[in-house]
Amino acid sequence: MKLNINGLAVDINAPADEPLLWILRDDLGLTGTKPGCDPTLCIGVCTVLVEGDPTSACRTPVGDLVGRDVVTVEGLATGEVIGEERPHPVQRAWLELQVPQCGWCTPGQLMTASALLEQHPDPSDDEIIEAMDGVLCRCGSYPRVVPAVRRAAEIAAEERRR
Amino acid sequence: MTGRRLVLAAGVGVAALAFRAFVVPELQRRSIDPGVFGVSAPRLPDSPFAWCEIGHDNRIRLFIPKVELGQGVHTALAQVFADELGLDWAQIDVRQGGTERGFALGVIGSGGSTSVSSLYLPVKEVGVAIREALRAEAASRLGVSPDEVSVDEGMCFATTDADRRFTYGDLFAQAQRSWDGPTDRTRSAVPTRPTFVGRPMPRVDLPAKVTGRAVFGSDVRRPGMLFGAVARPPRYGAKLRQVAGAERARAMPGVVAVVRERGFVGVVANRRRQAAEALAALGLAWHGGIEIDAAEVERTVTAPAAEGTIRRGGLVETAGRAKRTLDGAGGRAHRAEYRTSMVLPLPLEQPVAVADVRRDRVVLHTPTQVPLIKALQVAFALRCHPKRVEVAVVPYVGGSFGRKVADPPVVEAARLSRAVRRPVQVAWTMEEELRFSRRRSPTHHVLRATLDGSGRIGAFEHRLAGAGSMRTVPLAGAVVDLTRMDVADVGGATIPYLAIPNRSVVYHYTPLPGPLPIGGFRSYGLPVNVFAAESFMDELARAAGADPLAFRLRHLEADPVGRRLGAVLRAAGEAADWSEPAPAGRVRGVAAGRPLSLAGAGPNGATLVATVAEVGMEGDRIRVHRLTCAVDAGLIVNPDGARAQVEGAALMALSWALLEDVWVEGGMASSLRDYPILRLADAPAIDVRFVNGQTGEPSGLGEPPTAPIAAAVANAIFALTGERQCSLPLRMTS
Repeated sequence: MKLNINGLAVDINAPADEPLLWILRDDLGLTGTKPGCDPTLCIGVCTVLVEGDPTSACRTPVGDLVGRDVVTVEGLATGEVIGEERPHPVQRAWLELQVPQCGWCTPGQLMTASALLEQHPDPSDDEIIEAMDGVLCRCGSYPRVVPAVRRAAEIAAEERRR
Repeated sequence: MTGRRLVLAAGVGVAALAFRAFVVPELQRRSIDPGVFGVSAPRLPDSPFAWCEIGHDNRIRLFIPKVELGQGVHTALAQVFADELGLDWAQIDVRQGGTERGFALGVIGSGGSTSVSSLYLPVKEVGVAIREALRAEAASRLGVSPDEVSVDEGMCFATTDADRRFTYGDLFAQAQRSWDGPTDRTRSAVPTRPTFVGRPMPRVDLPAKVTGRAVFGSDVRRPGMLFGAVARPPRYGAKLRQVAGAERARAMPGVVAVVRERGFVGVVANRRRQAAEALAALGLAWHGGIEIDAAEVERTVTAPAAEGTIRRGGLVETAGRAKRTLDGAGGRAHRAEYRTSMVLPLPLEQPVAVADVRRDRVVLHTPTQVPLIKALQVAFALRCHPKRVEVAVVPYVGGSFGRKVADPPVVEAARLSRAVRRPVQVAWTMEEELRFSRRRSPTHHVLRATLDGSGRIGAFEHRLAGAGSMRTVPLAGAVVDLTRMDVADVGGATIPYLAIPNRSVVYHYTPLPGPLPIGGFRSYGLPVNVFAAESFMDELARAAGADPLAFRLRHLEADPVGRRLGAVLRAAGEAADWSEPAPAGRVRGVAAGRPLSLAGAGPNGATLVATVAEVGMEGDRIRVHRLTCAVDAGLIVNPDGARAQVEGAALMALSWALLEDVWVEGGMASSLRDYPILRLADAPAIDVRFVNGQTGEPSGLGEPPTAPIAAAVANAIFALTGERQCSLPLRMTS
């Protein structure tokens, strides 16, 4: 089957019920999206965007994604000039505020935050918490998450102005 | 005949008595002495160049013999190097050390809150040695004496004529060849330029983490790599009796091998799911193992009802005549009991390893805190020489908290790889982790104290029972069994309030059945011992009609720990506006941490922490709104990284205190739904203040800030509801 990952068409040869997470990690070499969820709870570290919506790769069968745009953390930065990447505002904010500790939940946080800002460019703290609450963190990055999303919103607004 | 036997028996008896009376207490005392394990006393490498390499491009590659687990140690140690070597931050390229480079006898692992504190001086010395070697080489080429050479910002130049210069890179290869031993270090007391230590330099590992490019253990892919799945027993300690479906499994799609060795069966397949499905088809029969329930664990881990003496338990600390005073006071003594739950370290990246067993060597890729120990484990399992086992520590680790020390995947992957002669990955799942991870020992605490008429504590006794967190560690476990003293279980139990004249801390070793995985865990007994002791201090303060913060200060003296603990208590109180009324609907509780002797004590002593918790009701739930943490950790190398460490430690300890317990209805948690951990929506604001952070040397930050969290919250809850909570996890609904 043909999938559309980070703007590229890729051919997959796998059972249609295989979760996207393992296709990404084991077949496509896109290991940025992380495992760790169990059948009873998705911890959010596997979050990708499917047509802009945050989606759990751990429980999305790859067969459901034919013909739909999928974006992973590897595709978050935008390349305006060939060979030159421009980090996404959430990536810049996460670096500015030094949010990650071990980094395992970071891709899940970034994908969720980027989707939130697409839909709510100026979210309230409550909206941020509600959106980001689905990504668990064991190291304790939580105090920096809301400020980082607010900073990302600022950066995104600055970029739009330019 | 009879006479000789009598003499022999008497001799053995006397020897046994002498052993029990003298040798055992000494072993107990030594087991509490951190120097015994050498955790905080690494040796310098034979050559300074083991940790550092400078290329012709003048970039400095640092091979750091500590593991970056997310604690920021690579960045902090790079800052120390950069100051000593006079580097430009942009020149630095930090690499994770492994068995091939960096880790050696003297630095075997990373943990116990010692990574920065224990390497601070060695890194400075190595930096100085390299600097002086470069200076000597430059002097030789310039034809001047070393005194006339300046070394700074990647350049060596003649002091009187800066145009005569070389880059470090120009000089490095020859400087390395000419190096013949430690140089005169008197010149080095002051670093070239203290530029980076003390500044919040950005973490060197973060850029890769925000792009998804960081390769963690689970991300490692080797050419020809296969996936392995290993059979797990239905009960702890059960042994494999029969594999009925091996042929059937071998015939399943993608299966490369079914590997059966003594006590072990696993499947290797082309795809992860194929390995798991074949494993499920193996038709396994097991026998033996233990069944244990929460009630039995509680019955076992209980301090004896009769007040303990040194004969019944191990003496951790004694002063004055605590037991006599308390026994004499009878019913007038204050008494309390506390219990704490078994909790899991549960890093979000489960244990994993990729093993490549070739004819003449073994290469392991794994996230681990202890690369040399992993090499030994695999060498032992495969019956090969440890020198043939290379452990490449992956540079990114998805959390560990003590878990990636005794974890099995390395040996499992090695066994499978040897059978199929290809690289094999074994990655544990969250379900396996919930069932089989080492977990913190449950504890039981009995405390007694007397208060005199003026509200001062006359005697204070803390008896605690634990199952022995070190018990499952080879060699260390034998010491625990022999001495009935477990240095990890008693962490933080010593009483810092030296104004109390009669003090006693006694540890009762109450082991659980061996197959139950108790063990290695961030902070070990520190947070639970402090929960019990500081909740009890709060009870005594209330009984004395005293302000809980003032009550604690009153019982501290001017000894080094007392002075420093007083300072952090005052700092926490000040930062939390303790003397002002709390915001409407909120109340505060306070708790003081304790020294954790293994936690990277610097020359100032071990890290000390005090926390004020602010709680309030939200509907029928208690909510923790804010934690104010004051920390004395000696010199703060990176203020932002240090703050992140305190935030992280506080939130993990809060998660343990509010949510975590492996026991659920019907047995142990086997799914994440049964074992909730703290989420963003429940996280309080965290305010961090460092005390005395500009001078001295660093002490540990990974574990100490976990110490006072549970007690501070429990004490705040008492202030809110009037109900004293005596067990962890705390009840947060009224």
